[in-house]
Amino acid sequence: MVPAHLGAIQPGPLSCTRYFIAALFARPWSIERRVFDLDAVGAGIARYDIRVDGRLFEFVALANPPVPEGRSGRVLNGDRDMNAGLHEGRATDEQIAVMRREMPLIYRGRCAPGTLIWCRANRSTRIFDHVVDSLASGRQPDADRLARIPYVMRNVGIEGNGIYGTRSFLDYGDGHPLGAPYAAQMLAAFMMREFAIDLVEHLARARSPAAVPLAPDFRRFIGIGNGSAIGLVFFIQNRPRFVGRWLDLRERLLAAARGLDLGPDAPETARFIALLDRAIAYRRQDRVTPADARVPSAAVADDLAALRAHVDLLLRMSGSLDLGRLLDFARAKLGRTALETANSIAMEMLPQLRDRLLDEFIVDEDLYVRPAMTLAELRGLIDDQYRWALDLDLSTPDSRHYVWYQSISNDEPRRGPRDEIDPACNMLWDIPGEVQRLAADIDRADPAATVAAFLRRHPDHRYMIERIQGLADMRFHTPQANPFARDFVAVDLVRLIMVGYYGLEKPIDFFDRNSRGVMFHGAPTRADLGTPPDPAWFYPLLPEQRP
Amino acid sequence: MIALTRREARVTVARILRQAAWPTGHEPAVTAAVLAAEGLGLPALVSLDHDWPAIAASDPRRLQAADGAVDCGGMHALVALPFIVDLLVERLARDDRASVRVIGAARPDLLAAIQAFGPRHGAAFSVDGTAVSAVRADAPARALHGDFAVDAALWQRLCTRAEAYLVPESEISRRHAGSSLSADGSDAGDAG
Repeated sequence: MVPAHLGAIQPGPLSCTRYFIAALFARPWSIERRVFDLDAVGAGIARYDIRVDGRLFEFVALANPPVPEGRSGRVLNGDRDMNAGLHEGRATDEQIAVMRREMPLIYRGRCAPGTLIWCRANRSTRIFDHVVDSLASGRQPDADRLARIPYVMRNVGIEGNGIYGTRSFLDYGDGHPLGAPYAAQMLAAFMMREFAIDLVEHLARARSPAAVPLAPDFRRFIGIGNGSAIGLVFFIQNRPRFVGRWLDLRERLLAAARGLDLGPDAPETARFIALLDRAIAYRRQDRVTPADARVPSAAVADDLAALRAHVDLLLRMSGSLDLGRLLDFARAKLGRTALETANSIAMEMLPQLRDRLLDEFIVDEDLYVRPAMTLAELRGLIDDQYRWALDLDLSTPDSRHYVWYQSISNDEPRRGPRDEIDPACNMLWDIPGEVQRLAADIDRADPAATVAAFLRRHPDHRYMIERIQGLADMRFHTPQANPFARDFVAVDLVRLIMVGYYGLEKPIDFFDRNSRGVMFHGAPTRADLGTPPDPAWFYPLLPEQRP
Repeated sequence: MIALTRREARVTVARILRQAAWPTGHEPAVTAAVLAAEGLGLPALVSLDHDWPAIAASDPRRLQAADGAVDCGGMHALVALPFIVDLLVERLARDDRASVRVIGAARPDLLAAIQAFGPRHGAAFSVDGTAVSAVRADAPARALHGDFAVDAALWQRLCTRAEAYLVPESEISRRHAGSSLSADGSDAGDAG
């Protein structure tokens, strides 16, 4: 749980974008645009029916022309270019009226019953108009520009699972088609991407009778933009069993993949090589990641090319592709991003195991005290799992540099130096500091005493004790770092969720605390449903430029 | 009335309770007690609104346990509840049943919330007046979820109180988030 390592995890088969797309093709989903009542500047309503397993969901998008004050990707006040809701069943007039009234209020708004997700998006001012102009002129957009900005709208918030009064995920019920964690959020993101494409085509048609639609390969190349920030640091701290379970499932899938020794003619060998070759080409074509990024894509491509040569060597020398040996080579010789790319490709060899592991994903997240445990036992847990925290020097000013808090402006999570913000405002648990204080108080108490007796004298330690006891059975749960330290790199943890778990591609970091990327880059579109997708869709190549 | 999800209730209740005078580390357990009580149909959110001064002033360190009795010293029942659970579960580790008499608690009617916490400890809790008892039971532990029906005006008052926990807006604070800053340090917007 070293943040720099967590932040290097790459999208893989257990990333929710990928398991969502896999699920979309595992059942007979259909998506139909039922209403598209927008004017020539893009104001109006669009309604999409989504059907699977005899169930109907409806995605309703309320669109506006761009508003200057809504440009920020932050959760500040203001309307958005698109506010949308995902509903179980047909959206009612009342639900849509509530959307119109409440969504501009952002975090002060509340949805109508039956709403699964509320989401918002803005047009990209860098490329949206170019795409419309191109289509209106009867040609496809400039592929090189799309390579630099591979989306036309950017998500500025997907909220469900109880937020704003949306339906609680655990109440969806058994066998629900959106029953995997974050599946409803992914469907909403997928639909925002569909709407964005429909919108550019609509505006082009409104401008010119000679307008053309986006070619299918351009449609697939265009994803939905996304920015993420330090709210994800709070997320990781507040949901340790969820994050820890996901990491555990990932480690189990990786361990199984490392155990594969593939024969030269095995279909998995061909698939592994094909994915690796696509990953190399994808990295070579990357125009999003800046050349001066911490990990430039060219360097990742070079590393992966070295790995590709090693694949050939293994096949030639040993007659098989031992993924454990190959990944050992990657760990020893390659940069961490390339290693994690190789790990992800290896895990792609086991889609059925991935599906079985997903069945174990939902976890009881309640933490509570075990009162009869002795202090000696509790101290043993601390020594076993929190040695890293006990060893931190928390006495220096640099170790107490930051304060983490939420603003009254739509609850936006923020982080500032303590000479700029009152430390009393801090809202992030100081896990290393609390562990050190707890250990010191335990060491002054009778080791045979129970936790119950100890807590009657030290009620301040209750949260840390319930956390330590409640997570004792987990291999992973807490990033091993001091988030208050001046040198703490928040974006490593932002990337763990945004890139590793959500599965965003081509992230760009800002101020070591924000990251921006693209979801569903290269993914099939609704027009592709029913046709098996390109098995390497997540490493899309640039569409061929049309004249 | 509005249908309140457990998640939004948890966030709001936690923000309120963190404004109390007692140690922050005690808050999550009391938040869980408030949600458990509300889930059982007890008026916990009403009490959080109406009895807030008593809740905020409750000092968990004043609780005394001796001779089969817990003296809450005027502490609100939901603030004391985690200690009562601890005490009973600790005794159940030695005996098949345990009971304590709870005295001096404000809003003793809310002690009934303890019933929600039995399954996770392999126990069944019951309340009879001021007597709280526990026996071993094999009911499977389960996550507490489900929505609440809450009076809209009550919810609005609680949200207003919770907002006091958040940090007021300022130019300096706005620089503590965002991916793009202008020369004066304010958020410069984003091209998307």
